[in-house]
Amino acid sequence: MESSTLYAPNVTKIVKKNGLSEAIERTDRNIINSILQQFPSKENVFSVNNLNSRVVCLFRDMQTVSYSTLQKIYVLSEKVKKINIMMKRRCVEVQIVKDNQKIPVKIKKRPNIQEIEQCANKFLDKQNIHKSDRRVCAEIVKLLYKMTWGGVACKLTMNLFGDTYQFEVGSLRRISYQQLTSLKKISDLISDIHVNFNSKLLTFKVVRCNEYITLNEIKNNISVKKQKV
Amino acid sequence: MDTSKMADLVNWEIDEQAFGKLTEHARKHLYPFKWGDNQDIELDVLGYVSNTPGIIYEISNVYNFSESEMSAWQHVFKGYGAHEVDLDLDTLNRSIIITVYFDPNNLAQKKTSSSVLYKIVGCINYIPNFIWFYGLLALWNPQRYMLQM
Repeated sequence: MESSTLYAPNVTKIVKKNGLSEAIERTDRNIINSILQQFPSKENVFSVNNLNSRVVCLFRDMQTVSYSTLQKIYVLSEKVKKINIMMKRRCVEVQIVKDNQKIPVKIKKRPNIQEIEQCANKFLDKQNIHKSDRRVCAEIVKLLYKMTWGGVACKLTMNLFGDTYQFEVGSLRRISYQQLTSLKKISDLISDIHVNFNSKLLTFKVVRCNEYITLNEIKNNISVKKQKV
Repeated sequence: MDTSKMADLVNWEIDEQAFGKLTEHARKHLYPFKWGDNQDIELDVLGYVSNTPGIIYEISNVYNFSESEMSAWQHVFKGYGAHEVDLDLDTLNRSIIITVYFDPNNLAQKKTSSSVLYKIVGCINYIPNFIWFYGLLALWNPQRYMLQM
């Protein structure tokens, strides 16, 4: 008996297009290529959406991203207007504005600052914080309240390891680069700002004020000694 | 990551038991919406509202947004005693974000007799359109469209 064999149909050739579409302007393409260099991991999925007013780049399946990486992207060009981190989708969105596009004016309703201060103090009273560190922690908690006012309340833990507070912020749906910059600007004590997509946490370290002062004294003493030598 | 031990940054006292019951109530009403393109929808709790008593839910895997279903969700929560219900469509994530607010002066009011009436009358919202259409045809020409037993 003859056996019939079935042959699979020929698989169509998969054509890979290298480079970005020519519908995107050369300057924008250069910016996108520079951004791509900040994410060398081959596991990331990258997509570009060419809209009338802007080009939206999405980096998906991210594991972690640091504030320093986002800062490098932001300073690449003045056309990079928005950088958003979306926790649930594990992606980073970069918006590149096209030429001659007017940015619409946004009028935001400011939250009640007194109410936020009261909430921050109430929260900090329950935490075990040294008196000397209370001010910087209060500023951080106030900023987190402002970021989430009217939306989903974030979850916060503060743990002290030696002379450094480890902050972990959860339940954040979207974080923008501007918000992270505001956090960084609060004080030099804040460092190592990271977003972990696996645990969906924003983490950063805050050095204790006394330790910061001590370290500065040591640095000053070393520089004075060098001058004497 | 277990976030249950993390403290919520809110400016009101959270009654976790009460909101747990509200979530159960919402999950019971999810089944009628699971049809067609939306058969895989899921309800998740995103968290509590930061500045006023309330809770935020996300219904994910929504591929078909319809106004009637959006208003049905408003009825689900308002019947339970919610002061205000906001619905936002997130087309990027294919989800509906439902923010349920409770009147801070009247937190004790969870269920009222009107919500019981809602349970009886509210099921009308879940009847698919083709049944209404068939009913109209049966009224118009009963001899032709009524099922003969």
